[in-house]
Amino acid sequence: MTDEPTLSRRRLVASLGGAGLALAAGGVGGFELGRRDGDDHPASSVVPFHGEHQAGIATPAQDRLVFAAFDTAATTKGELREVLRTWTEAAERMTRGLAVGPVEGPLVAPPLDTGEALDLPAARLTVTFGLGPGLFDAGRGLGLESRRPAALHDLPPLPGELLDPARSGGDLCVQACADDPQVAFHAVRNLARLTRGATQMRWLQLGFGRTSATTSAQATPRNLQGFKDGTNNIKSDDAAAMAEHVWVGRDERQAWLRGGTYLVCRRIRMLIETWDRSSLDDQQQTIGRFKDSGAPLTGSEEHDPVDLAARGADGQPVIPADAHIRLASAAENGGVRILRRGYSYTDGIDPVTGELDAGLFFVCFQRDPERQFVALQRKLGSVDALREYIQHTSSAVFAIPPGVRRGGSVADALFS
Amino acid sequence: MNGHGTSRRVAALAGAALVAVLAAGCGSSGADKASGGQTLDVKLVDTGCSPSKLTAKAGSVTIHVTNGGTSKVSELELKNRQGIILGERENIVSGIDASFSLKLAPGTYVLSCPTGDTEDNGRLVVTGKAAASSSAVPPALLAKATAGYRAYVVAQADELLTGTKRFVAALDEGRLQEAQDLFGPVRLHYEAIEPVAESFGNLDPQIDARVNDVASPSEWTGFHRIEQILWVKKTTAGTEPYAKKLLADVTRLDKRVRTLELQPAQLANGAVELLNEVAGSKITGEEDRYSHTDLSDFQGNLTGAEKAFRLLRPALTSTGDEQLAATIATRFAAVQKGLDKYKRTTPLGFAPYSALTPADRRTFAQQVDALAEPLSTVAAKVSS
Repeated sequence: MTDEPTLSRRRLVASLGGAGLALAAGGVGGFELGRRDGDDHPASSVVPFHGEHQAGIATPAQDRLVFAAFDTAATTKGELREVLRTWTEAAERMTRGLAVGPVEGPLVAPPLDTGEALDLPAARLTVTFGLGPGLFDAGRGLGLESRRPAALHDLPPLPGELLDPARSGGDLCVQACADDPQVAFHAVRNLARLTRGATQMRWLQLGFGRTSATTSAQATPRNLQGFKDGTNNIKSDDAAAMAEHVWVGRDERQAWLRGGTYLVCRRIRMLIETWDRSSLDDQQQTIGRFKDSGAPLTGSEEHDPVDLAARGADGQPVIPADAHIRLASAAENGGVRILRRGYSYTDGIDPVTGELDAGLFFVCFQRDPERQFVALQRKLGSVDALREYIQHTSSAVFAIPPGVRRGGSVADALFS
Repeated sequence: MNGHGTSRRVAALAGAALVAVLAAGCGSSGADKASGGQTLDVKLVDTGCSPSKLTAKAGSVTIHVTNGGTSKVSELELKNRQGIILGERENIVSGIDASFSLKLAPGTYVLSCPTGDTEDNGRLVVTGKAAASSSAVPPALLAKATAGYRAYVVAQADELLTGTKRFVAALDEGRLQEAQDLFGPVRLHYEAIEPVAESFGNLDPQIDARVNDVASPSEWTGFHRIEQILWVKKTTAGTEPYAKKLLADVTRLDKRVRTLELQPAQLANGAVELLNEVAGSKITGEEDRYSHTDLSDFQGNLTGAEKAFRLLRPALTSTGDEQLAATIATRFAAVQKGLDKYKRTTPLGFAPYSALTPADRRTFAQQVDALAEPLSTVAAKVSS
């Protein structure tokens, strides 16, 4: 595992017309990140990078997230393609637990890899790339306006949001998920460095704990409100549901996006102090589940069916009309579903109020943001009882190209 | 002065006979292994360095320092015969060890383990042949670059000395306005060659320390000490001892730069350090916190860095790295263009730092990062 072929170095070096991290390629060796002994870290800690779809969507949700949005200074398609090529090669290496390049080299040059993931396992790292709507604007001059997928537009203003533009939008996104936060951070940091100048990081969000189960085998985690979240999430092992709700199909006119999806992310700040002084009854009525067991108010076990029609002795619905699980349910939304893959975050305290700035960095995948996320949020943002306790503070949407073939790079069909 | 101490940058730009230096981290490092060189063990003892006489063969040498149980000595410096520090390790108290590696040409070097009474209490004799250059760059191109840079450093130091004399005269004669007007323009020449000055031990802190850089207020001297009096107290009264010392220190600097022998890698990494100065203390506005003349310093750092790059560009091009060179040149121009927006016809030549908006600062920081990253790869291409 030590002497990985150095296929990527020349490319990394030559990338961006020498604008990237150019280096004098030193000797081989010192390339390996982790898996030093082979035995310590089972092969299962590597999630395959190549495939029909990009990893990090259907992949069982890892524990940690580092999500970064970038703007690009690229003025031509070729420059944009070079950024994506550089990122693809580096990401492919890092997901295998390898460094982007040797840490040891000429003494007068900075090390090619920054080194903080040395000795750490691959930690199921996935790196998922997306393209923002702005890249396809005619005024942008990249010549991509005829390649815009039908559903790729900035989201319209939505109820329940007070967006910080400095934390919203972006030309490109990198979602790095791993079971080790330092592995995920290392990935984003090194990608940013490899294309510095051709890209600028616009914002970065750390997620410290997953809030979704994305496969049937995963237990449902709790969010910062203390409730089990996403019990009825799409499970990525349900291929039919994934095809119906998540993967862009053959009906998309832009062939380059078929097999891809759309990512919407929202930083949803929870008004923690307010929530914490709400009664248990209020909290449970707001969500529509019991806090301890996670069962719906119409059941006793987490996975008991959510009976939206059930009425109590008083004739009122057991799951209130404005309860979160009712309003978010597929049944109440004409069958609309999304794949949620969010993470709890905290950014310390609000400097103005001194209250916790914490909540959910909501990430979801779908075939059509307007028909799925936007439709759901229009409703949730105006009637959901939960809206009293939360505020959406950032927003972004990205087209997620399909998976990468061996030897290919992300979105290469867009440039052919 | 960047306030982070000088050890990491000590050998960045200056140093006779110094081919390449890596200040390795505390404890063991890969430097020794990577360079395949020799390791010399030195203990700090009450009398200084032990052993006090060492020999090595020319090439890569790692000096491994441990504390042999003394509380009197806690640092080691390796200097050339001109007294220029090539590498150093500080704060080596009992139980701590540290090492650093450098490539040494044949000659006699001074080891200094200061006890309070004695300083230069050791010798290192390096024998053998200097390693042949393996660089693909024609040596003549590199020689031209280093000679050109040396001339530039000397010219800047001369201008600094001339300006400092005028500045000190204005202070002596109580002309507050004139002294304030001269402060930025005179400093610009210092900022242009700051990494060189930083290689001369205490000269940089004596000339350029900020109040928080010194252990006690009584040690604070130099430009910023005077700046505080001129802008906060709005008088020249009380500047006299500092003015006198500043002139003496600048005179020493001007003399010492004439002994400089520079390596191409030092030019390249010195240019990166100049940009790090911009990123670390100019964009934050902490350098000239009383006078807000930071943009003039910014210009000095930028000009000095670009000068080094321009001189190295033919060498870089000769290795086939035209595209890298073009990228760096374009990014230098972008930073300069941003700075040009703040040029004014005032004595300083620039708007006060406070004219920068947060958005401007972010733009500058991004542009400087975008420039410094590819620039950081130049040294390896032009060094042996």
